[in-house]
Amino acid sequence: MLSAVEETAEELYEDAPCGYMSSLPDGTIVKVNRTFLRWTGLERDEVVGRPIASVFSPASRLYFEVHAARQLELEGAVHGLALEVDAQRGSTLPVMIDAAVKRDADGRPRLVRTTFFDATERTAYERELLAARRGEQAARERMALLAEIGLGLDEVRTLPQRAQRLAELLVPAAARAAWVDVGDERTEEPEAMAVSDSTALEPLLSARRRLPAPAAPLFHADVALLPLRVRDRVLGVLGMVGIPEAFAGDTVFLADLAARAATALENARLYDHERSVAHALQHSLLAADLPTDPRLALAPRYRSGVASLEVGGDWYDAFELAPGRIGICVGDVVARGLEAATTMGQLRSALRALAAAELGPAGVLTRLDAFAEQVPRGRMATVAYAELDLGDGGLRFAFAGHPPPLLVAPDGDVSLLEGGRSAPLGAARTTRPEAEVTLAPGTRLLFYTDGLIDRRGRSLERGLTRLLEETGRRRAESASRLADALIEAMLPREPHDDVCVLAVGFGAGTRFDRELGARAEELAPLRDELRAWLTGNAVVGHDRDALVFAASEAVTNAIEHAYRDVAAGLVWVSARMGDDGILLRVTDHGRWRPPGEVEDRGRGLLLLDKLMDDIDVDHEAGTTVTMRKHVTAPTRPRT
Amino acid sequence: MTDASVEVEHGGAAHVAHFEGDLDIATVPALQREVLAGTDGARIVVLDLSDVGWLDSSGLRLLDDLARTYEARGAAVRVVAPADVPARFTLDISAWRPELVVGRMSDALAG
Repeated sequence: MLSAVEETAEELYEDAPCGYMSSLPDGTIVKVNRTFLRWTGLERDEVVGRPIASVFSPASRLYFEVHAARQLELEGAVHGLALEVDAQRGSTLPVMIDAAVKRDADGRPRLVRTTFFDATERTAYERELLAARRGEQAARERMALLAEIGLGLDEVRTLPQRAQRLAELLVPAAARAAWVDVGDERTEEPEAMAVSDSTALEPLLSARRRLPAPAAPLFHADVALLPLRVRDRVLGVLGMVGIPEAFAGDTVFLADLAARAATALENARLYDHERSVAHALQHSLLAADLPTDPRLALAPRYRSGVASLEVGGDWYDAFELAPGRIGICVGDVVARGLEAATTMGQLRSALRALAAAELGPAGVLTRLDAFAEQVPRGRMATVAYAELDLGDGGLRFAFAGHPPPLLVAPDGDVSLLEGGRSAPLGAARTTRPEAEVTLAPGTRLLFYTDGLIDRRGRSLERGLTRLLEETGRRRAESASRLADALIEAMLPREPHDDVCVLAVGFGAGTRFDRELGARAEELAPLRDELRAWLTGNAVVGHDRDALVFAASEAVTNAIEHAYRDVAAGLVWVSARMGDDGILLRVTDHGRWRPPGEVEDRGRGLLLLDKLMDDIDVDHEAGTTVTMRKHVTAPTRPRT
Repeated sequence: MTDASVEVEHGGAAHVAHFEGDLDIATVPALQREVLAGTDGARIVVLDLSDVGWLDSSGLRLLDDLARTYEARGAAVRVVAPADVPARFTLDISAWRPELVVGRMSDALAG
């Protein structure tokens, strides 16, 4: 009759004073005892089949995955780990766990047995201890950390930068690892992350992806999951693992830290948003078609400031006033963000409309004054406006508070456009002055906004002197190369302000130089540019067609043959206007293939031979085809 | 970016392929496939280059290939290139099969 009073092994297991749980090596729970179910109020089928990590509350789960899972894998057992189990109706139960891996005869992990001890009392004791330990010293440390984080976050402006800075400021002072997730979606990688001990990285990343977004701060031992909340919006989550003893459990401090971080990140988000809207608006305005004419090369460039709200107010514009007459404009509104972009758009449209009325540059700016008075932020905008007659090279110009554009003469002489200067918009009392100059074919003009010459801590005058020097070094460049090279030379890698540059080439000049990728789609633009250059030099009709054809064929050869086995090659095309005609040269660095080697190769070369007066093919290193052609037209244009 | 297209029209006995844009190595391969697909089974094929902005040796190679293909099938081929268009410049300097080149569409359709 012993069996009637003696408990069976099964009953011992089920009603033991501890919770028991068995899981597979992958974490799936296969068995759980009644004690555990009674503590948590869960049904057996709610537990069996779930991953073991999921029985813990979120912060605790992270702690389990980072510490326990790894230790189990390495050492086969963990002892006395303090965790929190998610019980029914949102309550939690503090526990201590022991876990051990059971292996089969071959030593392969078969099961993990986990024992849960009720730790309610122990936790209460620990809390008291912690409270006692908190002294003035710790309080001072906390204040210092908060101050450091506040200052550090102020140094950067955009959301990604601030999130990353936050993580870096927290590690290692306040955590061994910290990360920021933005938004509700759990992306593969967090928005920002810093880790002092990279071995913790992998379990952390995988654990992080499975965590729900917490509605309230969650803490467990040295883990904290802090919603980043600003008013009623949750921006994301700040996660911290390995919080040092001095801070761990100080939920008030950690929540305060999260609140400050959230405000800083929210400001960054608003800042990013306004910048992107301002830029979008500005780009939509700048994208308009520019006039095309063979006697004119326009190279607009726009570079946006990196970490500043000083965006959206710069603009360039060029438009046809009448056949053969072009209006050219660059301007800058003194305002920030959206407001600047809106004002810029209004001034730009007004200037176009006034220009169409044929008032001349001074007349246009005088009338623009009246308009600027009525537009918020229109006052104190600066504008450089010029009208170019492509027939005789006559350039009339007026500058309202704007630094004078540069003129690079065909012989390379660099100067500033003189005269025509007056106060910014809305600040002039009388009629504005204008000035005039006649451009020789081959002249290049450089219009720009002051971001090009105004670097912080340096005077405008010094910037202008430097611009003249840098331009002098590139006096032989075409308009578009000049624009690129000057932006490269004048601006820091991450310019603070926006910059607009509009380089203008008139009458094409005596030199043509292009570097192009050895790709079929580069051919058509090359032909257009060479045709325009030849036209600018009064080479027209059959001569022009022949030269364009010759250049296109030589480049086609380079693409098809020299670079046949190469993904990315470069081809250089140059043309020079000489006294006895045009010298055309096409160079590649690809592999020379004799005409016989490739089917149909001969025809292109044969045609060149027929069209040019003289051809020389040099294939020492790559291939250089040099061609000469006498042209019948005069070498100076007068179109 | 080079842009080119071809549209094949079936009128009476002839298939007329109107080319537009630049014929160079960027565009020729796709055009060739398109023309051949559109002229399958044609007895007379007219290749109209009136609106072609550029024709180079890649374009000539296309004309070679097309003419050879049609002739092998026993179909007649004509190329239309008026005197003042860019394609005519290339056809003339290369002396590309003058017997197939005509200046007007009506000449091409007259056979």
